[in-house]
Amino acid sequence: MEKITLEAHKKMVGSTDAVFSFRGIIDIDLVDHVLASTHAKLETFEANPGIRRKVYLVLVECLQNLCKQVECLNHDDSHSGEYDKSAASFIIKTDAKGYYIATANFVANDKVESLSNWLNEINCYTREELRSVYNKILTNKSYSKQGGAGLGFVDILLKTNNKLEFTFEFVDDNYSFFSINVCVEK
Amino acid sequence: MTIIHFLVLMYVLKNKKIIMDRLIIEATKKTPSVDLDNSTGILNISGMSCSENAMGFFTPIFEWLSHYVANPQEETVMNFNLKYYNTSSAKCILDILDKLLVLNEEGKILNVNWYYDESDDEMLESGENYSTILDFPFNLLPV
Repeated sequence: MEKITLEAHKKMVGSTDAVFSFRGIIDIDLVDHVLASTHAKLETFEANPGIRRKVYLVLVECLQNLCKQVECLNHDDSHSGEYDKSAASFIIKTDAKGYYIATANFVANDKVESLSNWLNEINCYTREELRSVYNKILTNKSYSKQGGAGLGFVDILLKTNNKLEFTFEFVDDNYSFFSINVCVEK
Repeated sequence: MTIIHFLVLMYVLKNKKIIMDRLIIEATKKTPSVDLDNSTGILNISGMSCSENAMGFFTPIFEWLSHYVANPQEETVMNFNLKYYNTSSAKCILDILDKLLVLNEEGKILNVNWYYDESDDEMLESGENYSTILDFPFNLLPV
């Protein structure tokens, strides 16, 4: 096994402002551990309870969404090719201006267009329009019983008042690499 | 039912106690404490509700409510005192309230108390939003 060099470490963590970073196979147990750990850390270094709550809730939505997207992959062929498609990355950073949550994972190519369209659509909405969409999804009887990324992303936009920054990178005929950044201002 | 649904249900069943007509579920790091008492008509849900599979957690609560609304007290008090809830739980909270509104339609007294931390404007806004969606007045109570 290769050693983690300082350069690789810097690439993974970036700088000293990282609260938490991870790259590897993700599951709900790991997400629970990260949420509990970050909750405890926020209690010690974020004095504003409103910001603490907001960061924690946005992180819950981001990581649970990440986990669902990985679960949705077809695991039969997710290990083929150069990358293990079950792997994901996320990093939580902070500076004087705010908290930054970045997540990245593989998604099936046939999901890219609808997800991209949805994110572009809700990114353009005003707060009132977002609230209206949120309520519409919430009261929709056919809404997924396990929740859904649709409501999660709308909720993140309502909580942060910042646009979602996202990209899709083509990987191969079956998969793309989806990365999304969220900012919670202090 | 998926394996995850099944495991969550097993976990909930392991951590809940049904005493007569009372449903009690102890809180965990990501699920709220629940105390639904048929004998008093006082229903309490409080704490964190951030399970990725909220439906799995809330299923016993929906089952209990289905029985309760068929034979309720004259007055029912629903207390929500949540610190956090995720979007997966948001739908379940609405479903609970939706079930309880039947009581009001049948001439029983229903009081919904929505507690929120004084510094938590979003939890206040959430209570107001549920109240608007359901067209039913809530008691919005700072703690």
